Amino acid sequence: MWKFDGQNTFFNIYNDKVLDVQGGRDQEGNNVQVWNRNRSKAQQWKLIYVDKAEKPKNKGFDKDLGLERNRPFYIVSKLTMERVVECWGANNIILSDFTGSLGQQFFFDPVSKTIKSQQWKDRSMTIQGAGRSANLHMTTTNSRWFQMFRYKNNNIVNEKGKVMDVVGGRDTQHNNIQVYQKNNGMGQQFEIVYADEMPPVPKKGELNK
Amino acid sequence: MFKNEKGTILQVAHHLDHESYPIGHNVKDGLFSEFDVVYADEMEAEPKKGDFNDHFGMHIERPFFVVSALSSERYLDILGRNMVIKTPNGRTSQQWYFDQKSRTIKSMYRKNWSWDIAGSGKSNNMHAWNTNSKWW
Repeated sequence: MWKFDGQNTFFNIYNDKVLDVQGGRDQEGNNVQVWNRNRSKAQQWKLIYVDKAEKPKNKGFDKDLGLERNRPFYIVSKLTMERVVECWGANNIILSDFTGSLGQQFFFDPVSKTIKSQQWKDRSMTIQGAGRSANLHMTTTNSRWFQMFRYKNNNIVNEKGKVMDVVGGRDTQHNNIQVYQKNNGMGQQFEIVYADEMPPVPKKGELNK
Repeated sequence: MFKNEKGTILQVAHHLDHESYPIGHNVKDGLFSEFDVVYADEMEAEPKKGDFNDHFGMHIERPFFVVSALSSERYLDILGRNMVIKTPNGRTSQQWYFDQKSRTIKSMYRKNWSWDIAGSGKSNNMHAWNTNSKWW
């Protein structure tokens, strides 16, 4: 049984211990525990009634995550052939020639805070094996840390620091995409190009600049 | 005070003001032996949904978020059954409400789960567990 003191503390009615973020670590998925009062920020909470809470923004640029909300985009590799990232068969993520298909389009969902597939909208970019694998794929959205990515300085960066990476830096059709330690190689550099701003594929007879 | 014919007095066992503590009897008196008799037709009605419960500091059955004061302002959430902090994501696992009947804080994700100190209060870990209205 728990009480809220009307200020910022939840405390147990029997032992007077309070709700506390373990170790004061402000990390995604960190544990919450009971602890003796120490008045630290880790023991302070706001109670916000859902009917008074600010509605999440559905449009516009999310500064923290570096992406426009709900605006479809391509993830274009900065390797020479400028291939794009594609969700292949609603599952694996690979490098592919640009076709403009929905499987090559992604969007940032401001509710789940994940990068979703435009073709399979219930799926988000995920580090496979609940974050234990290096492989990137698309799976059902759950907003766990292994689905949390931001776009920063041409990298797609996971919450725990690894970045999207073309395997071996090989600029080949259908090469696999994974996550890897950041190394500033071109295989880790991507441009976000919003679908409504993507230049069309040049046609036969046109000058390829 | 309630005293029987042989002089023993109804009292709270071990004199402890704890939730769900048993009632016993003894010959000593004190605050632990004092009870008010409130006739049912004069008993104050239980507060209803939406009312504010002064004692617990929350509105009844009005869903809320619990937001950490740490700099990222993550929300209290459930992972499996464990209570953790996570980025707001619109899921009901981040919504809670005060239940007047059980006097517990329940999850909107599983309405038969309440805040619970693991190990029947012997651990420090917080999780969401089947409602039992025990002190933990």
